[in-house]
Amino acid sequence: MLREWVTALRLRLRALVRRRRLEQDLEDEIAFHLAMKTEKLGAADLARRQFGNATRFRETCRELWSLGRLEILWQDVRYSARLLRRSPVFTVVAVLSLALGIGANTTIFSLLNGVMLRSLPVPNPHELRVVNWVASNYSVSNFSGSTDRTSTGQTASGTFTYPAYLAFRDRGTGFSDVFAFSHLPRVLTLARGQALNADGLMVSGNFFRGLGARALAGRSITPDDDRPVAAPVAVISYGWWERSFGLDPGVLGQAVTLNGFSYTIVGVMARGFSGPLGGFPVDFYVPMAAQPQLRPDFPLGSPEHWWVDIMARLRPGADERQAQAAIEVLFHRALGEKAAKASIERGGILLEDGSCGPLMVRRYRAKPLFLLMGAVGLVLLIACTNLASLLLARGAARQREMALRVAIGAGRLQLVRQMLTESLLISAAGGCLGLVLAYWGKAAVVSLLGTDWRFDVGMDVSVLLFTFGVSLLTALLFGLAPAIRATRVDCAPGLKGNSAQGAPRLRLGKVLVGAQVGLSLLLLVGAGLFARTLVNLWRVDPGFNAESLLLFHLDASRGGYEGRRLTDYYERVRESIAAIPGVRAATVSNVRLLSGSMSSGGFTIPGRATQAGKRPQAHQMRVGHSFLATMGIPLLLGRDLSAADHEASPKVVVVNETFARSFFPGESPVGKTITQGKNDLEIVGVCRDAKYQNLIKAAPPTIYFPYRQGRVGAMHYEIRTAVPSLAVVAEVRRAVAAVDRNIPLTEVRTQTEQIEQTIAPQRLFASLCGFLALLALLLSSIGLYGVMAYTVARRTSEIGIRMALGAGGGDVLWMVMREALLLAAAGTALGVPAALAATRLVQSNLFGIKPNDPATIAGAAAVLLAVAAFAAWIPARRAARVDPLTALRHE
Amino acid sequence: MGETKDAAGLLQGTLDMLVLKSLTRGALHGYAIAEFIQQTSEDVLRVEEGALYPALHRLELRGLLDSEWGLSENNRRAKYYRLTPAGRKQLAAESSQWQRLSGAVMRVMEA
Repeated sequence: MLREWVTALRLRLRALVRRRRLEQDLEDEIAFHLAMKTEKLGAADLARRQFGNATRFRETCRELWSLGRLEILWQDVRYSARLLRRSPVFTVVAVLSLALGIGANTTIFSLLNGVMLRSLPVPNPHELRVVNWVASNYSVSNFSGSTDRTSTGQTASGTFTYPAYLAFRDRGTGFSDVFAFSHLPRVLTLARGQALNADGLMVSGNFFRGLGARALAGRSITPDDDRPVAAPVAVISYGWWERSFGLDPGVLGQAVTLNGFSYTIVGVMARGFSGPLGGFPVDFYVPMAAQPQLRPDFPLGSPEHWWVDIMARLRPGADERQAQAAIEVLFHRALGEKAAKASIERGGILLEDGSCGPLMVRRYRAKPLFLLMGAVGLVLLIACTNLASLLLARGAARQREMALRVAIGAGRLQLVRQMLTESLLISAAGGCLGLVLAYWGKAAVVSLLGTDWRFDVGMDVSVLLFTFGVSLLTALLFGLAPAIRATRVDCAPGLKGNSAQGAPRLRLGKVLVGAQVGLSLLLLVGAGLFARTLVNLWRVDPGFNAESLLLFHLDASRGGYEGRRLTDYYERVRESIAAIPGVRAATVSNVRLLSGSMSSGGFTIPGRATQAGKRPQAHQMRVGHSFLATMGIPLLLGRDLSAADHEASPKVVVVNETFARSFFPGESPVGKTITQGKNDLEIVGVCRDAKYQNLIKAAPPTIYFPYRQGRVGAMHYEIRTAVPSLAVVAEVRRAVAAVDRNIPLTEVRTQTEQIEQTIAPQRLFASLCGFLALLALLLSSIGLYGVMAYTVARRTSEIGIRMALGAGGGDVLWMVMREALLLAAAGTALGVPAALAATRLVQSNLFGIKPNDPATIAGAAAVLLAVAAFAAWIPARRAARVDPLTALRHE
Repeated sequence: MGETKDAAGLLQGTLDMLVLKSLTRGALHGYAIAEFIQQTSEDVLRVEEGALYPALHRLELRGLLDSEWGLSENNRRAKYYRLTPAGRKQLAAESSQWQRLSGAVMRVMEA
């Protein structure tokens, strides 16, 4: 059977190539036959009669040689291409609008694919599991990780203590490996004399073995490296190798400085591998044993510090439920120890599919992308309806052609096929162009997302498949209805009609244009809401003066300074900066305001009973001398923290208004005492509320501590300047170097830059939604224009009669405009409830504005109607200028 | 002249079988195949001669026949067809099928 097929195919292909030769052969054969027959019968015409209809036999043979359907398809494609070439404006508009739609979808999908869908590039990823715990209520002491709400309202998290990990690793069953890692974002690195921030991952010794990820060059980290006595080693990613080392093969064995400590590079990971955290590509890997250097505040041995993520590889054939139960037992045992200082209510362990890495991280990353996916989907839908209405009008104008083709024997199916081929050609061209646009668009979107968003995902097969599928789907979506409609022709009247006169009314076309207007309203409302969110964010009062404020980060705790020497160092730097001309004041804090980071802790108020696990919580910040005055946070009661609050003096704090209101309602907190750990802290002042983590969240209850009275690590400096902030940067660098040239300044930026960075997602939504809304407006106005132009052409003679009977140009203009505006109004009316429903989905991304904000919706509708009026005005004016004589003569 | 039947009257499969059969004794050109069928059936089966050619080309495409150009008995250029091994197998299958079928029809008609 197969051989027969192969032979047939080979012969057919040969037939295709040597078509002329075959035709000649057949002619010769027939001529020979007739000659022999004539010889026998003695009469040529008799011979021909007995031979039968030679032309029919020739046709039959040609069909045999042809490649069948493929050849018909090829004919269709050639014919369609010719038709499209003949109407270049339509083709260009169609292809461009689709390219924009498909390109936008491909862009967002390729980002989403990298974050959510792509499996880790390791063998058998389906065996991987992420270990999570769930609880209905929990209280743990030192937690650094992410938590999530499950569908049942419980809290879930993938973050554990290191001792718990060791127990899982050593006593878990059913796994070939249980491995741990901890993200090290923005580590200051020095590679080949170049300082930059890189993202790292601290990994257990069996991490690479468990994942099954191999090094491209050198070796990966092994259990031998993960011992306190082992030489410090690091493995780098392909991306970093490329960026900082220029793909130099000699990099193995070289040193790289991480956080001020030197590590030897022993391997480079393969190109596609960027760690287990989708959307957070990792630049370097170090063993867990590097904890004292890279994560000094989270000791490996501590059972009360929660900071490691755990994954595992199931042994083939192992019972997953048993494995999960075994881990759960170990988890409860770890919690039960007194040193754990944790309480978890109704806790349990849940193994989650780990083939793409921990879901929680990816979901966080994907959230804004899902939103954007919805928006670009809308744009594509608009582009499709737009094309469908254009094709409908085109199909209507091609009534005569269709009727003619039916009259000479074309089947309905043949015509539909032909028209669908046209749609497919358009969508294929649009898809190809869209891929190119997506390639550029991705870089643009990533840069809009802000500096902490990095993706190194390329266009992989699933992205190509997505684009291909979307193109195909759009072709059917916009092509099928017009094709069926256009081929429903009655050939007699179709041929008789002399122009577009006999063409049908475009009821479906109008419905499509209405739908387009409605969809555009959705995007316009979205763009309006995000734009106003952005404006509101810019206008929001942070509670301190963000102008003329220069920030930088300094970490002397890695440079050999400790305890009193460390705080003295910070103080010396502060004093020398304050002495720079143009600097009004300088202070320090352990957290930078409005940077997305925060620190919080529990405390107790002496004399008040607290329920177990429900200690009052407040945000906290360790600050330097006259922090409040320097930042411009007004003091309401008591005093600011000063140089007098140092290591040896009584421990004091300042709290904010919200703190005072929440915990000391109706009384002055000044002079009261709160307790944290073993320390009694006296409240010496109350200040105005200032935003802490970001602009969106209301100011939380906040405690300001003098930094010299607590544990000190890295510090941020805040410098109030009298001159433009960036003008003093060089002086500041010199001043810092003068104190100790080995400690580098990092993250130098102004407070306003810092704020801009935290509102990057909102800015992205606003600009992207605005762009998409413009696109939607453009597409809908093209659609509306097309339908109205068609209507005017169809009614030319009617308009001529009206004008001959005395209608003025203004009457005709208004007649056309009224029809268009009614259409736009109907679309808008449909769009409003849809917008009300859809905008609720973006509520969490809005600030200072309700999703159903009437002004925004009214504004969007007004813009839409104005644009619609303009699009309709062009054909309306043409209608008003119809010369009755010409129009009637045309008849 | 006996009862005539054109190609449409003859089932396509039957014509194919007759063509294959006529080539069992060696290569023939189209005209000779037509003559062979007509003469051996004693003029009962008269193929519409032109219909033979699509049949020949179809069989060739299916790999059941081979062809080459040669010189005819009276020195004219003619295209000769010959059975391929696959064609021979096909003929065997078809003729046994045919015998079963025609035998069955006979038995019914004679009952």
